[in-house]
Amino acid sequence: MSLQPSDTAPPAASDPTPDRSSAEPSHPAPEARPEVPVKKTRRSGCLAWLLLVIAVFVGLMLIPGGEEEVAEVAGEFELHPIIEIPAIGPIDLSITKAVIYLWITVAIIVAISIVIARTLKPVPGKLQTIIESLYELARDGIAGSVMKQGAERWFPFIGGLFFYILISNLIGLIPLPFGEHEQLAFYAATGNLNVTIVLAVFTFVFTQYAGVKAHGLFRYMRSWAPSGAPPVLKQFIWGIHVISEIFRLVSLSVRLFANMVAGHAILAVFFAMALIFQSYAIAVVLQGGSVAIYLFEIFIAFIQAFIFAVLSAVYIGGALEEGH
Amino acid sequence: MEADAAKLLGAGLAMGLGAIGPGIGLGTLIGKAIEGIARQPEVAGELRTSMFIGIGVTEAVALYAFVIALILIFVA
Amino acid sequence: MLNLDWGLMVWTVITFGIAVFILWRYAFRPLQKVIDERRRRVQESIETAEESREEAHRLLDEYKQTLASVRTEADQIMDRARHAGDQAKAEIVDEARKQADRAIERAHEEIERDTKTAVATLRAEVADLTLLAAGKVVNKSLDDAEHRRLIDEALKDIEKADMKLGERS
Repeated sequence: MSLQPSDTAPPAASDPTPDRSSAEPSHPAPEARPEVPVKKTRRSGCLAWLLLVIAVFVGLMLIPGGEEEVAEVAGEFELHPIIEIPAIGPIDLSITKAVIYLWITVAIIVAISIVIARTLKPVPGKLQTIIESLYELARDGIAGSVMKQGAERWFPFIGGLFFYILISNLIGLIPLPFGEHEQLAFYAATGNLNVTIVLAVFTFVFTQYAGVKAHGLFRYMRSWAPSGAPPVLKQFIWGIHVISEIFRLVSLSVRLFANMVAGHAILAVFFAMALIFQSYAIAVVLQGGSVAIYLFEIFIAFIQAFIFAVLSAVYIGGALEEGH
Repeated sequence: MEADAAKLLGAGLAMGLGAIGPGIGLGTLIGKAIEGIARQPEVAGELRTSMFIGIGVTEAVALYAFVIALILIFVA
Repeated sequence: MLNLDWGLMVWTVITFGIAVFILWRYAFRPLQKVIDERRRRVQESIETAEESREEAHRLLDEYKQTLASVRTEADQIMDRARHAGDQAKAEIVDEARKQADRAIERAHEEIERDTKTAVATLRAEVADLTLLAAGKVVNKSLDDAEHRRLIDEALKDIEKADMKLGERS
């Protein structure tokens, strides 16, 4: 590179001379020349980095692994009462990890809501813009886009579902000290079928309520089967519709639950594999992988909350509409 | 074959086989959705919402397999 | 996670209920209000802007009209003023000329009167001088009254001749 000025200087000096034909062809040469060493150094730099990584990797492989530990992936989802409350009949209201997570969700929702109620300004700041765009996503993107009617009326429920599930999912990605022996661990309340099934039952009940209220019980029931079909076929279709209504309950709750469990299981497997393989080299790779999975889980947390709310809106909107 | 081994085998098979269909379905679904967005970028928002709903419905099938696997391992 | 847990279900109902209520009461409603308010305000400001634009247009037209009318009026006024000025000038000049004429006339009259007085004085003086001279020449003292009558007669003759001269001139 230091040669470049001395190379370019002669043509610049010879420029005013009439002999321009000899000066011009010599001009591109000094320009093209420095390109080659730069490329070379970049490539050799990459090569050096690669070699360094391989060396570190090999070095890590040579180091013997740590102590053998038993990784209990499934144990993370077991619930043990933390504060015992005597059961009333079959209802055991003991405070478990899941209940604590639910209350954390509610606490965060309350905190955010109160902050919103306190600091709301006509001219939004940065935080308010984010909150408003989330709100508009819930209102226009979820309730408004799939419900032809009743979006205004049912939005509090749909939006509540969205934010409740979203925050519950996201809390699941923060390590909190509720693991075994009070160590930091991941857990999500939505990774328990009892929680998700209650949410799905809410949607189911509100769907039927909305349908009955909009059309009356008999007209709503009749709208489950096409009016033009012969009686036998009509009954058959009606039966299928009843099954599908109930199956919505299952699909809604199982989708959310299984997504959360699967996500956490994969994260846990990535963490546990380092213990299983007992190698620092694999541990480094797996940590990179688990970071990627973690980011993907944040995306999944959003998507699942979104899908649960959208499908609830679709079901309620469908029940509100005239005839199927 | 021991019962526990059969359970684990069944769980693995359930998950693996159950993931085939939704995998193909999701590929088709998302591919078609992107095709649609590329053809009509002005309705990208609606298409994306529909795509996510479709993903949710399709993915549920794989998740049933996952739940069956869980039941096989932990409950059965 | 798969076993039935009624307690957790109850907790879920409670927490979800609280969450929805709090969100609805303290987040969604105020947010909606603020967004509506902002939308209304934007709408209003757009309308106001539109209105003021129209108002401005209207005012501009009005001003243009006013300006045009004012200009014609000014022209008229100027014309009228010029006219009046001309008239005044004419009047003043006329008046001045009249005054000058009058002054000249008066001067003439004065001159005439002065001339008359001078003539009268002269006549008296001439009469006295003549009397004196005649008295000296004749050496005979006529009585004064006789003298005067004679002189008057002579002077009347002169006057007559004078007047004849004046008429001719």
